Amino acid sequence: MAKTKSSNKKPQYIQRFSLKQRIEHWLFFSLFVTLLLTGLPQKFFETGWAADAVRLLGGLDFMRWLHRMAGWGFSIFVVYFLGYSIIGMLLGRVAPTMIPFPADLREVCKSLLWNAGLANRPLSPRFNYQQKFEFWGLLFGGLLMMVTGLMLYFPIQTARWLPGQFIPAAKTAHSYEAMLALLVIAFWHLYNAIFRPSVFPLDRTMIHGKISLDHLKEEYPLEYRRLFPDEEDGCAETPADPSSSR
Amino acid sequence: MKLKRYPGGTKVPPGIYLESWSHHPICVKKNDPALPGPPERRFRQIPPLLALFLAPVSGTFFMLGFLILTPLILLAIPFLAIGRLFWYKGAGKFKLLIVTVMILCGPIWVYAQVGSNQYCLNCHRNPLSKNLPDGTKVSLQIHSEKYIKSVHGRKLLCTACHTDIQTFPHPRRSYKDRRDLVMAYSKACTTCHVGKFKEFQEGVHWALLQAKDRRAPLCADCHGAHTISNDGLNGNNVPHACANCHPKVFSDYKKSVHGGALLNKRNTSVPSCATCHRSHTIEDPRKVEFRLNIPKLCADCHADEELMELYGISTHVVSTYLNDFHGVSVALYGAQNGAPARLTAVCTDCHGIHDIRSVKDPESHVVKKNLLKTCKKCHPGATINFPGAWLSHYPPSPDRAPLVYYVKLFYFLFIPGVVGGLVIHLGLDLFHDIRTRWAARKGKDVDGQDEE
Repeated sequence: MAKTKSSNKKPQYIQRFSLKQRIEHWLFFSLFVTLLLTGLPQKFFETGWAADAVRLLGGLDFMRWLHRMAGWGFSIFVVYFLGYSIIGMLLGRVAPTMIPFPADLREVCKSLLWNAGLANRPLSPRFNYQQKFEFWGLLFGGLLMMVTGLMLYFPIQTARWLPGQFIPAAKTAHSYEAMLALLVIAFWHLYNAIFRPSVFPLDRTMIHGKISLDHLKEEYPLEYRRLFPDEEDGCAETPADPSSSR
Repeated sequence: MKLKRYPGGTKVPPGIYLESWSHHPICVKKNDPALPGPPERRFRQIPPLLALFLAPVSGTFFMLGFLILTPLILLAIPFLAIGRLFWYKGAGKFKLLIVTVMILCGPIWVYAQVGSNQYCLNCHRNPLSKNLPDGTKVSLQIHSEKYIKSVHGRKLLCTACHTDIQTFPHPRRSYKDRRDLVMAYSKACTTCHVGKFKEFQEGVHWALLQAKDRRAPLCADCHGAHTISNDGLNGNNVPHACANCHPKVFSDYKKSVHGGALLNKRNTSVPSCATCHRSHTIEDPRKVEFRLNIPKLCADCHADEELMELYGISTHVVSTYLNDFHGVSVALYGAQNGAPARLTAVCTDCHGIHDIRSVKDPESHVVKKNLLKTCKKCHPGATINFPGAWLSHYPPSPDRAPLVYYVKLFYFLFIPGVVGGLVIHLGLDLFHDIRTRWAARKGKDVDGQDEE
């Protein structure tokens, strides 16, 4: 049914991310990459590629400066984003689409069953549980990186208020949290945005901000239902068929 | 136990020593144009036939010495004894024969000595001396038994080094003072010890020499001249050789844990000056490269489990330093091109340079009492908690640094947990996708059984 529809008609698109959201995403992306490029050589300092990276970036001092500047940028961005979102939600101007609900937990279980072929595809809202998990993981991870990063940036001031052992502990946490973030992004986000068969070679939603109606209906049926409450066709418990999105 | 080390990792290829032997004056034909180096540097010996004529002619001293004194003492006695035997037999012809032999013996004896050190020692075994223009008196006496015992004793002729003096009378030289003389003759060593000379040319002392600093040490200043011995400048004695010019460093070193063990207990497994500074390729320790190499230098011994076991010192000291902020900085500063903009603490900044003390010594810079003061050298604002940020070379453990240990443990469990979970989820997703596609190709619907 879905197949015939998509092959007959040109896919219709609908705006999913505003320009502001896309700029935020790519700003976050560039800060994240800068921090990784300037931070990982410091973690794996004994390797040859770390030495190459230091040489390429014109020395350790510049690399550290860049890391700290990107860290400041990251922190300012996170603080701004949190402030904007919280105030916006309180004023009712920003939709609380990223807030986790018990429904998300049900979605997780159902999704696992669906993947095993034991249940119907769960109905996702605007952001599914995977995106929510990634968002909150990065937010909490980012906050942890900010706090530990500041402790490492100002060790003398930190030692005025906290026992000295907090500094090596912060260094350990900073280093491992970065690894965790890198692995989550590499395995999870890149899979969902690039390597997933239904979106390969690239999910362009974050570039032009649009999503096709077919895709929206299939991946985020609740959002589709919210946007088109009058339309009834195919929105109910449609068993998903990833090949239909082609 | 004896450990052979190459401090700083510099190794001179073995070929270079072979090369130096290949034109050793004893081993090869003299003045072979195929050999490296200027020919006048190489050892020349007077051709024996020429010497036969030169020797009696060139010096009256030798004529007197050999024709009269030596035959009288050494030859005349046995010959006279034999002669007396014949004398009593009344054979007058023998008297003439004996006198002829006695006269001939002089040149033969001289000829036998030319080309051997005896020729020179005939004079120089005596307490000769010479006054230089600046008033210093230079002894010209050679103690032959000491020279024979030296490493060159049975190998080198006097003329191998004293290339400008081939016979008697000696050519005139114009040394202003003793240093002039030493500097002139130090060139002789480089003829054979090419490898060592090349090493020396990399060092800070050579740079001093190039800057016309006459105080710069030459071969003979450390090794001696006529009494060089194989074990003369071993680990035990190196500090004394350096102390001639670096007395302040020596007094610091003497008090240190390394110096005390070497100088008082004759323990040669501890570093002497040359272990860290090397013997010939002595690098300027004020250079950044030297500074950044210090952790590696200390690690040469302190990461050696076999050696550290003797003293009950943990080999973690190196890895814990390297994994700390200072160690990472030093490792990466070493990798970059150009000098770092700021200094980072290396081993010697906390433990001391030549005055390194045992960490059990209450005077040590790194005992708890003194540690804050040591930190403040670089971190002036440090407060009482600050030294706690340094885990004293202990790897994090529940006793030593529980917070760091548990943070680490948490991530050791958390990262594989999260990433493993994500990968499983991802795998399921991919599996479902592939299964659906496969089924679609065959015209079936995988999820069809649930369709209402």
